[in-house]
Amino acid sequence: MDYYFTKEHEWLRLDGQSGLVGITAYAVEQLGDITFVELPRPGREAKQSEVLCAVESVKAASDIYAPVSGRVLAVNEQVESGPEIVNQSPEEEGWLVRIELADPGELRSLMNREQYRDYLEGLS
Amino acid sequence: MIDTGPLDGPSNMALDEALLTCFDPGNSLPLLRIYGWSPPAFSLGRFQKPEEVVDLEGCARAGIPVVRRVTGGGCIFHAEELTYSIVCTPGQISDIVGVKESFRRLCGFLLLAYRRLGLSPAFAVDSLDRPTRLGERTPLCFAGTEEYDILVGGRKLGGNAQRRSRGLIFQHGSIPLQPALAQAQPYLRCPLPAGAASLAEAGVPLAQETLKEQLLVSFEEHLGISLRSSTPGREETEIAGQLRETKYCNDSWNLAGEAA
Repeated sequence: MDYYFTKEHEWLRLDGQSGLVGITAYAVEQLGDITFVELPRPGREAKQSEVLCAVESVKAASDIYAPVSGRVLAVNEQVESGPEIVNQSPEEEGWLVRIELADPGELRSLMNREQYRDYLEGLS
Repeated sequence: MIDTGPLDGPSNMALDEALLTCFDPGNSLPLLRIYGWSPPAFSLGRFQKPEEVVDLEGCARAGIPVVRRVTGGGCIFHAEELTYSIVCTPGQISDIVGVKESFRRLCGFLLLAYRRLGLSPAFAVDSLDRPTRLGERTPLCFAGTEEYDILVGGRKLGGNAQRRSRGLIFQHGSIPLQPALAQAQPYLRCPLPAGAASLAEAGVPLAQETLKEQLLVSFEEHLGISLRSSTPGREETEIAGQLRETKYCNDSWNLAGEAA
């Protein structure tokens, strides 16, 4: 599976014409214990780099941005009832949204895993 | 530093959001705002369900506004208190990105101010008489304790919450001067927290102006900066006015949490 990453620490795992979206292990580490996840309604049209959903951790409400434009096909209801899943498995079971890509060309503005690793090293 | 004095709930939350919206990470100076609340109001955390926390009909009958914040955390009754808000980039506070560490860094000025007032405050995580459970989500802000909440004599003094957006840190917090929870009790749908304190209950009855002076001096000393008095700019004022009418005076945001 191909993973793509944003500078705001979201990931996209491409799976045909759609992909799962979540937040990275680095993001989770910075956020602390996630106590609430607010997900979009399925069917919503998202635009790249605009707010897709939000999480609360340690009394901080944080925006999560759409890595690509497209329609929200499904949301992970498991994390609504158990937000700690995002902390436990941010890049697998803790996915947030499945999104149908509107423009595969937008993938060019994202990083692959190696580039994201270099980006994180540059932050520290 | 912007001192707007006391405003009503919708105006306070609208201006806080406008200050965050207009903050330009490349050019803006970090910002501290000091304010109060008139009339007293309830504020709800970003993701709270109001009907689980407050008696909305009772509030409406009594003319007590209920506004939703853009920050996390629980419900606060704002009456005899001083409130602050801060907008900055992580780079403006020693490149601290993590939520917990940023709370520690930014709330440090409160610790210093309380020490100057003769109290012995400590972050909950450093306190020997802290509650056994930290980080639990609670309906009332003052009922829950996070690692970097401030305790005085084992009781939580005030509360702080953040919003993270566009890589910016926005934090606001409440410092109760006098006990106000009893005034709020008839309108609450959850038990009052036993472990919350005001400055007066901690043995320091203060006028708002005196606390303000202590906060400003402590803020400068803690962060090693000099505050410059300012007022909201034209764009900030315009956006605040729009947000007040379209968002913070509307049930769709305040009660349902739906952004316009």
